[in-house]
Amino acid sequence: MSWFPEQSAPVPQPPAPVSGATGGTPVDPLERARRQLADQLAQHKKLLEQNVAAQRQTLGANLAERTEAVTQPWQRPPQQGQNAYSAPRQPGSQGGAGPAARTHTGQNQAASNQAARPGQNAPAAPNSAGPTQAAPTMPGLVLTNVLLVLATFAFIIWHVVTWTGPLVDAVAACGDAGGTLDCFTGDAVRTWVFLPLVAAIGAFGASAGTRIETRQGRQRGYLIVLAGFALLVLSISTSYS
Amino acid sequence: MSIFDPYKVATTDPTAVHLGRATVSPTLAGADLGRIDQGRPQASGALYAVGFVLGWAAILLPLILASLVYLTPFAVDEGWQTPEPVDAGVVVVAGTIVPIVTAVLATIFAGIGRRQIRAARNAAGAVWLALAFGALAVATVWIGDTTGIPFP
Repeated sequence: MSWFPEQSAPVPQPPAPVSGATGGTPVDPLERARRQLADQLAQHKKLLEQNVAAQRQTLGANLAERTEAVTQPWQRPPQQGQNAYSAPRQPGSQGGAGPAARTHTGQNQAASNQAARPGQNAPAAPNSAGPTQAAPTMPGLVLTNVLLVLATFAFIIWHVVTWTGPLVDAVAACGDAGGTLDCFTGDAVRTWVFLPLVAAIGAFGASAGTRIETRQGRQRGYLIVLAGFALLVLSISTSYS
Repeated sequence: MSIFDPYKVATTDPTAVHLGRATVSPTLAGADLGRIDQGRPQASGALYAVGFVLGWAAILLPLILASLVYLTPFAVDEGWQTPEPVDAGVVVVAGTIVPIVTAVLATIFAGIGRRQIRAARNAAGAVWLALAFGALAVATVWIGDTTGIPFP
């Protein structure tokens, strides 16, 4: 052993030049090095692309999961394609490619479909023309709507039966005490004809509006049906006073 | 604080959803009143209810007005006080033509408005409903002024 490493171990020498694969002149070492480098570069590029694709899929899946975790269904961009309205996915229940691809296309299309200004509605998405998206069914609202319609019919019948007598008496009394056309537009007719008429038509209108909100699955249908009931109650209370 | 980004998530969270519209959903006593799908424009049920009422009012109001106008001769027979007598031609115009025209116009306007609302075009529908209401108001005021009937 000596203190100088090149005396204890031989310095590796480049291999003797051999001919190329097809025979012929020996390959220049520089040329061989170039070919080796090109091979390595291609290999590295393939590995890099594989890596990037895998990363993109993972990122997409992560993005979808995070978005679903922090947003409500109405805050997400509309789903494109043939997707019907679906409940939030179970995390990790599908392969990485599925949600990633769907999220990508959905986000790209949603980004291009977004409203230009806040307050504008987004331009109609390609799949929003027909009723392909099923709104959530609201059985409570449908029931309340039917209740409102039945209550309106009952109100009409009850009001006609109960208040026709007093109405005729009032108009006759008004006519006896100096009749004017005011008898037909005065207090009696107002409280016992005009207001119940408006209340009944308004209640039926509220029912129609609620039907539209039911079809769209919005909770504000409850407010509209409540307004219809309030109209009926108002007319009933005014008739008695 | 803006309703478009109340918690300022857009600047901090790169995965924040940018919709270009309010992301706060209104609630009433904890019950959510917001839209299920903000990606699509939604029809307004309340506006449709108003259109329903206007549609029926377009039929009933001219009917009431015409009947009031034509009750005047009967009131005269009964010995009731009547508003100042007006020209017979004016009575016919006010009692027949104007109510019929108003009824037709207002019904058509209200129908168009309801149709626009059902197609989720609330603004256009509101305009047509306002037109229908305006037609009814103009007819009521004109008939009242011309024939002197005490309506409304």
